Amino acid sequence: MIEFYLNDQPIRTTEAPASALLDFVRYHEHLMGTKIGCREGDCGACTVLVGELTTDGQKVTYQSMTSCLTPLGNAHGKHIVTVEGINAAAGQLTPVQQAIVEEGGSQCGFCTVGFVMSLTGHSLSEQPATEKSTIAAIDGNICRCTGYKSLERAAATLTAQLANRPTQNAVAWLSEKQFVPAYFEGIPAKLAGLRTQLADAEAKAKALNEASFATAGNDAGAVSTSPSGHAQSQNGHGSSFPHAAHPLLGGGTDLLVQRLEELREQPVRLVFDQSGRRGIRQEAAGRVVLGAATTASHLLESELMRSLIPQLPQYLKLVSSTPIRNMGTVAGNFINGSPIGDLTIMFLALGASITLADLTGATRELALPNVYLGYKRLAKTADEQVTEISFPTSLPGDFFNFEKVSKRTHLDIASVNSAAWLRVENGIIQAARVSAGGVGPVPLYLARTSDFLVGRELSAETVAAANEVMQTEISPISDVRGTVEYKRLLLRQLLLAHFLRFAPEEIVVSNLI
Amino acid sequence: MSLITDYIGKPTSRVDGPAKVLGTAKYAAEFNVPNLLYGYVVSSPIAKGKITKIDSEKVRALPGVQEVFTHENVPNYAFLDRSYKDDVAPGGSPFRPLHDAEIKYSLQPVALIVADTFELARYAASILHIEYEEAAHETELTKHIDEAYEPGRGKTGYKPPKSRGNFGRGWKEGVAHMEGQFSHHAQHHNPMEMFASTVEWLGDKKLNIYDKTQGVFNSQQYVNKVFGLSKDQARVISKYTGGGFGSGLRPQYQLFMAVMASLQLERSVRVSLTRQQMFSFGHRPETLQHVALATAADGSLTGMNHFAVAETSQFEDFTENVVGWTGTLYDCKNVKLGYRLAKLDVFSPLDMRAPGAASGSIALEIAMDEMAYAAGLDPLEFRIRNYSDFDQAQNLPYSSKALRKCYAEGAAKFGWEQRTPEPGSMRDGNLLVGWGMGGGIWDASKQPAVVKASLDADGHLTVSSGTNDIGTGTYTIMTQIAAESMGLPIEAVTFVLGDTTLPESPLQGGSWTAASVGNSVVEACNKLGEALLKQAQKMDHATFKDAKIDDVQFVNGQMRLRTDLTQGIVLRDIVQASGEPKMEAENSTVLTKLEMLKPPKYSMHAHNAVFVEVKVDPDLMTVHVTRVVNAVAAGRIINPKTARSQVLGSVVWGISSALMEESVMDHRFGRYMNHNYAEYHVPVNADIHDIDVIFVNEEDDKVNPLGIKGIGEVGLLGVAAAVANAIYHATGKRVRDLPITIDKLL
Ligand SMILES: Cc1cc2nc3c(=O)[nH]c(=O)nc-3n(C[C@H](O)[C@H](O)[C@H](O)COP(=O)(O)OP(=O)(O)OC[C@H]3O[C@@H](n4cnc5c(N)ncnc54)[C@H](O)[C@@H]3O)c2cc1C
Ligand code: FES
Ligand code: FES
Repeated sequence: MIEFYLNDQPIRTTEAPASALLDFVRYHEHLMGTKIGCREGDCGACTVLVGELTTDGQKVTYQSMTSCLTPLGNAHGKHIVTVEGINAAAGQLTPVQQAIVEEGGSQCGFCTVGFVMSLTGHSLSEQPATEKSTIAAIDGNICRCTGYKSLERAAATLTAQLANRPTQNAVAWLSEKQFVPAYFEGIPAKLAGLRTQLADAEAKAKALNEASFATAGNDAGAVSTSPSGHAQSQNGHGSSFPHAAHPLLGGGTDLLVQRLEELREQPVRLVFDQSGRRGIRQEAAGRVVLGAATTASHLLESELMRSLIPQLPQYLKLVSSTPIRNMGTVAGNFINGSPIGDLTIMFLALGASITLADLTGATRELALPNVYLGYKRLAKTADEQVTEISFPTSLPGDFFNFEKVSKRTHLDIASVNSAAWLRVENGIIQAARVSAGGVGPVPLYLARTSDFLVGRELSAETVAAANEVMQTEISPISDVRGTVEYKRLLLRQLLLAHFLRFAPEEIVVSNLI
Repeated sequence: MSLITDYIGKPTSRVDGPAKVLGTAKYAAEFNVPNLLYGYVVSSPIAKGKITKIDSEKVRALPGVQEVFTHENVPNYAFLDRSYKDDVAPGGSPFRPLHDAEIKYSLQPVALIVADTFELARYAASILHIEYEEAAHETELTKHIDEAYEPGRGKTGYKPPKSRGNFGRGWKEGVAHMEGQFSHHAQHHNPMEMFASTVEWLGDKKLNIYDKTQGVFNSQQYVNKVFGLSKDQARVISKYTGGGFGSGLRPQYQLFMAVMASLQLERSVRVSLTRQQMFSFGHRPETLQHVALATAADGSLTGMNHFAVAETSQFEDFTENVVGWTGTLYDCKNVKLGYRLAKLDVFSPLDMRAPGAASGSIALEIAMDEMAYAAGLDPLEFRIRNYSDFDQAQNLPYSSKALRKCYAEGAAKFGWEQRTPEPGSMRDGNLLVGWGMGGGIWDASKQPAVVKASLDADGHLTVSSGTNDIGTGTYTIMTQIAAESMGLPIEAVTFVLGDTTLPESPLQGGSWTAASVGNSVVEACNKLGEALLKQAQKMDHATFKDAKIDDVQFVNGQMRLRTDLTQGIVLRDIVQASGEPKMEAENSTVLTKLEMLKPPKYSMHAHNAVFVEVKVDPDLMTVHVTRVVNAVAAGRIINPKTARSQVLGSVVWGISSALMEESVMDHRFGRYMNHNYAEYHVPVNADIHDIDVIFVNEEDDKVNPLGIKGIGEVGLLGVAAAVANAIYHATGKRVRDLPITIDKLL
């Protein structure tokens, strides 16, 4: 049973947990305000808000997500808000809606609700609204009609209005100003009630199924779907609990694009809200440890991560879009095994390892480069789950850089990406880790290039020579993102870019090209 | 005196805006019809061959699956090709969905699964087993140039381009020359809303069809002919359309599928396509073009040659005007034009925003830039020297042409005079800066459209016509025109569209809706005005006793005497006095139809001039379009707010064409490999920087009574070429193959 609030209504459903939240909203609840433009997380027309109760049970924090890729199971215990849930009574417009109408931000209107939801989510955010942050809130919304300018003006109007939003008790202010209906103020209590109720039910189920392999943090996995597509609750049947063969589902941003139909037909192990899978901490042993279900947005919000990698916000801005970053997990990015996974490339250069746990709870650690055996082939069994990710803490003065070239600024997979970590003393490279994506069947840790750099002088000649080594270490193929020659050229430019950013004085471009 | 009910020309917020931000605007797939069945289409993975076996047993066995439709069990509907031809079908044999075992192109629909739920239909589609026998396919245009032929029978209205003078002589006369090959890939419209039809079965073969379309009457007549239904049986409704850009000009196959399934199962059925399937029908065709230009010492063009080869399908001759504009836009005695088609194993191309002109202007406007450099002239100055004051192609004067103003105002706003001509000569820090320009021309046309105006006893005016609003702003501008015509506040006017039970209107395309329907709104309102005057005269109202219609005006809710503005009567009172619940009038299209038969007296066109700035990273060769000024001359602008939006959107389309948008054919499989939003790139917000739109003043009393030329398409022209020209100016690299991706610059 999956339980949550949809707008102001409680929902209990036995639909399959891997169903798309979008389909549930449109086809089961017949709420047609949420649109479908791609079913692949790219257009943002299906954007909804997902509210999660804070651990202290006092507040609900809202994030935008693309409902086409949100597994229904990940809605468990949360507040899902569609446009119907923010519309005030009697056709009155919220300030967000008003601004879009006045600025002509809607033409055909098919993208519009998505923009309304992203901007409403932004108004619910705890960060101060600036021109930049408001515009960033719509980075996951595509509009084919307006050319965005009118939407930017609407965003500007909104930024001005939000300047007066208090930091304390913002929801009361927002509801007074009609950004959201009054029922929002009661949601924390409702979700807290749900939390207690679910905890009780879980405890009972646990007692009943002591021997079973219940690994998910909630009992949503205990629902399977008959081939007819009609879900049947199998609560109480031990056999229906997720076990080894059942796929692990994180944020769903890869799996729901690729295998939605198939996943709906079977139980899944939900990782996204599983207890102990979140949080970023500094361990005494000089390592930083993050839970497997850490999302890209969590990385961005983490002060620890930002202090270690000050440029992180700029890097992560290049990764997908706000709603996808709110959903996609680091482990999902690793295990998806895409040769151009941005987070994977970053963590390869950071020297990360993963902790894998099998169903008995036994764990082992694996260096990230060793995870990849071949195209989408991993050194991990199907039942093993990533529980944690760790990497050595950098020293002050260490250099880290990430570069990505793609055709479009957001919502784009890289043609080629690369990350580099360097430690330099007195002009001599002491340690180096370079990674590259899109130039081989797996995300590549460039071991030979990295080794080559160590002990050499930080100079244009070294970069040129390292490029020679690097070119022998990669094996790009021609595809829709470019030809072999183009990718080789791009990676050369990216290697150069790393060094240019690190030491613009020492590296003179004309010496290289 | 400015009157409060004067709305034409005033920026007005969309009347349909609230419904769209609230999410209450209903699109084709959103009508909650009771007992609805869901259809999911299965598409062919091969590009050519035939289906040898369909094993649907497993799928049929799934509880909740109602039917699996394939060519094996779909009944034979209409026999003649003619019956499958819609209003804008090109010459040839239209594609018939689920007709036989033959596969003509990749992603051809091969089955429709109808089930109780959408999710089940989708799952069933994923496990349906179909076997194919593959045949060799041909999808490479470059390999088929030699077989290209001049299309005899194109689309209705297609005229082959006409050459004039003697290009060979003009070329020899020239002292400076340019010659080049240009190309761009296919593009897909990709409106945000995917195609869908919800067919509501009302019993006895009576259907309400909610269709995604740019023309409800076009969908209706297709359904009538194919399924032998009467107009009464097939009512087509389309209140909101989530973008079209031409893709909704022809009925797409989901309409056939949904109607067929509904008739077969005697149930209500919805069929929605997926984003992948949005690549399974018409598209802007790939073209290969050749342009050669020559100029005399003074920079005047002595000869122009523009030749294009475009792809079409094996079964239809899709034609568009790619090279024709070259003969009009610039002044030149010797012009040689040619246009050919080559047949490939793809679906028939389809009009896409500014069809023909968008492709042709890429080649022409880059070539003009190259020519300007070869002649040692500034690209703007070069265009002004070759300004056409008389349409040499049609041998007609222009009804109006304010392109000079576009050049002047656009250049001033952009700061063009600061430009240094040498490529690579402008910098912003480390970045290379390039300034380029271009421009275009588009038809100002008008079609017959019937409009009904109806005033009720509460004083509310309902104006209706079966036209469409694909996001263009039709609802809003028609409301403005009607409100001003009848002198009513805008809140007292409702415009109704998108329903075949309304008076007949043409489909929304060719930028003609504003002119066609707009002028008809005025006519219908004038007729209603006459009826109101007559009624007023029947009343005991001495003021209007001898008044003729020209003696009165409708303003601020009243009918007033022009000679004595203090004398007026409230419109509502007239209706109430009539004793009827409402008074109605409809315009007649006889005059418009006659006009269309007569040879035209004027060449009627909208124009634009575009100025673009790019900044290029010299190390990575990434390009950013940092500034665009687009000056448009398009007659009278009814609503600067919605019109501006149209042009802003067009500019983004131009930038997209220049840098991102292409449907990449994988020739090994004969299919587009980037058939999704992830890989078919359209710009996101962060890709778009400053855009300035200028509407230059252009009064035209000849084009149509309202002086409207239409702005849905012209704003896109010249943008892509201007970007390419700016990139040349920044980098010295002349790229003639669009989109200009980084690999072409490194
Ligand atoms: C529109 C869009 C844009 C995107 N842009 C980018 C981009 O710019 N850069 C980029 O790198 N990626 C991008 N992605 C891909 C995707 O968002 C990331 O790969 C994301 O990190 C995947 O995480 P997830 O939790 O959603 O994975 P899921 O889809 O839930 O799972 C992915 C895989 O990981 C496995 N898995 C998940 N969690 C665990 C675990 N704890 N232990 C073991 N296995 C696990 C799953 O079984 C599955 O095989 C984009 C995706 C979309 C839809
Ligand atoms: S439908 Fe496009 S992002 Fe979900
Ligand atoms: S208004 Fe049409 S897609 Fe944005």
